Amino acid sequence: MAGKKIRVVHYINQFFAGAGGEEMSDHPLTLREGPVGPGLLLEKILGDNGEIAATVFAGDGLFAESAESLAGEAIERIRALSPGLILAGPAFNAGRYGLACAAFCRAAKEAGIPAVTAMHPENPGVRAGGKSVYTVPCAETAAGMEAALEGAVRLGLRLARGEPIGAAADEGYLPRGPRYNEISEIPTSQRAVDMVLKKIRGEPYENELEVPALDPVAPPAPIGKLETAVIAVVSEGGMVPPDNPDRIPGSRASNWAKYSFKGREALPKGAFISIHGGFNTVFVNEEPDRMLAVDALRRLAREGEIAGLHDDFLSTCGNGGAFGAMEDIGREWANEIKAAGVGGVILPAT
Amino acid sequence: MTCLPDVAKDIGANRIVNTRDGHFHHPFGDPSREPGEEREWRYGAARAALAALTRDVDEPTVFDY
Repeated sequence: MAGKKIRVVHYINQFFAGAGGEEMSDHPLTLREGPVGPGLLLEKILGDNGEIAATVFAGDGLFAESAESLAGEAIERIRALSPGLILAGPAFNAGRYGLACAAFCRAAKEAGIPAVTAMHPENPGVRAGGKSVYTVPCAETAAGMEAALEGAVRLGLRLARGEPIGAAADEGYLPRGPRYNEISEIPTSQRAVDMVLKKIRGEPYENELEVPALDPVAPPAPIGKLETAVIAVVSEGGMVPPDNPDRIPGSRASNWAKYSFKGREALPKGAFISIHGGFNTVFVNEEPDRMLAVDALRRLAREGEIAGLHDDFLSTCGNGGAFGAMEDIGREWANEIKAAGVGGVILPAT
Repeated sequence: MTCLPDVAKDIGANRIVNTRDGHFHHPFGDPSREPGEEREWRYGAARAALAALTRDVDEPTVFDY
């Protein structure tokens, strides 16, 4: 497209600006006219499409301490230059630099200025950028400088020109989370079968949903002496007192509650009911121990197999639970139970 | 405690008891048994859970009950 050159403001850190290494990580926010450091290569790649109006840089440490306010201040200062595009980085796999680039791009987006950054997919800045930042993937080290800048410029120019931006895989940026609807000629059932056949044959296939990546959890050490261990029962089966006093919803819950087994040798009908919306609750409502096994665990305590059943019962509803909400609940339960001196936990899963 | 051990493995649970005769409607129950038998079955399932807690594992591991 012929036309006037897009005015680009480039954000880099103190290291790439040649202002020093780690000892200068509190370098104040600085604005220079024209390209600095990798900006020389950036301007070459921009060619006739754009020019670097200014370069902004600051120390990584300084930015990490006050990312939001510093990014806001930087945007205020460069607004007068009426930039058409902000390009931050590439940050490669430098964590604090990545966070700074993400904060800078977010602030730019809020100010209505198109922005793009580049970093390694494992840089924590990718997640920090969230849904509003376009991040182009690049190598781990500055050896990948040219490719990183080329990728960022390709997407950045399209953003600056206001062109519609398609899906991450097509445009070459890292998935940010939003999904786009598209109409397929092939019905869902057939696409699902096609996909599973490809999987069985070991052929490449593309999932239509992003499968959340779960962090592995290191197994805790086994219980050495069961007879001295207090055992707790926690559950996502939606077990609550019949009036559901904490209003735990039957699906997509994000809250949990603590109830008590105190004084109960078994759970009679009506002690708890399940409000879970994803399975047939008739059986556990008839006999709540079909979920919580209080009768069996009390017996094991009487027989001296365990020191006792923990009186507190932690409860939520896992039906349609969001991974993030469930992770938070799990973390809170672990803290709660650890503080209570519980030796082991049983989780009946529905 | 689950009748769906593959799901439990996928999400990274480390000590998984496959309750087989249990069900996701009633992980600690088996209503097809007589009440007395069901209680014994549940007692056995609880013992299986405790046994799993005493086992050293280094990855998601399924114990059959």
